[in-house]
Amino acid sequence: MRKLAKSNRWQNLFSASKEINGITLFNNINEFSQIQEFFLSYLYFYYNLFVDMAIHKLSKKIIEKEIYEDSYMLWKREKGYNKKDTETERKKDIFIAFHNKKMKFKEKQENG
Amino acid sequence: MEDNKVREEARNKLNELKEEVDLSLLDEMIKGNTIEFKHKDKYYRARPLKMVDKEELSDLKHKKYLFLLQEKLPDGKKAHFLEMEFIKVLKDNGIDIAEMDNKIAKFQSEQKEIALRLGEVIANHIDEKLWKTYEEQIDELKDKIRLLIIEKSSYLTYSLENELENYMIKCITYLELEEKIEENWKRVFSSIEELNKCEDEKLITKAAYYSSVLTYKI
Repeated sequence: MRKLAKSNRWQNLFSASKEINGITLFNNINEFSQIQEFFLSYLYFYYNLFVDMAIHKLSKKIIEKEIYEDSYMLWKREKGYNKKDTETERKKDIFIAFHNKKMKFKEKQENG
Repeated sequence: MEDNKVREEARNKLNELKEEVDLSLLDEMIKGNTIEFKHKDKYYRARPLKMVDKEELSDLKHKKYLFLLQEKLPDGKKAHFLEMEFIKVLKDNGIDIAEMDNKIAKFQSEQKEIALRLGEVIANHIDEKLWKTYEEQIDELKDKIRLLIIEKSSYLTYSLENELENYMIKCITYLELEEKIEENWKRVFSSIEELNKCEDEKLITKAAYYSSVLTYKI
């Protein structure tokens, strides 16, 4: 199922269905079966992976094995780029807050 | 030697072909939301449950659950144990399911830890040789987890929950299986009892598999 979901044909269809009204993925448009729901989640999974591969210039080796794909996506979900950025931002904020406190403390001392 | 090479190549080609056929079948299955198959020169299909089927399924499940809970053996003892009761009986007999669960959780957490490291290495373009090392570690843990899960479910095969699940698969098969008769699709069995009486085991196995793929789980 994963092999199908990452195929060019299904990925193109998935992208097109998101952008163009009237393009549907399945014969039915609602009441999705269990297998279709699984498939949709894999389509989305690979769509995100391919976008990341292009943006972050990831090695093509990643799509050779599911274990690489899963590990990367797990890392992205739990520790990913945005989270790393947020973490850096948070550290910066803490530094600024701490620095300001010291400044205020110094000002107080000088005034006092 | 040359013969072996030719045979090996032929086998590989056959496998590739088989995979392609399987994939195109799966493709049709996903797109069409039904699974058609031929058995003994007749055409069958498994189709998704309609609202009315879902109601019947829920009703059947409810009745079976109550029946299993209340069924007694000739000596008056309970005929079925809930999973929790089974776990207690097993523990009294020296089989600790909770310990197995703890081991599974421990291995899963180790696996996640390594997967996160592997993901980080991939994201940060770090030496690809490391990928293989982490991959092997994850595979080893996956095998350990798989073995424990198999062991655990073999002990709990006869729990009430498991019996109910097997019954549900039968019900779904009865509700989903249709036969093509003069260009019309008609339900093969009129009741779950009729399915139970069916002697064509191969048809039931095939239909149960396709019905489960479509509705239950993969």
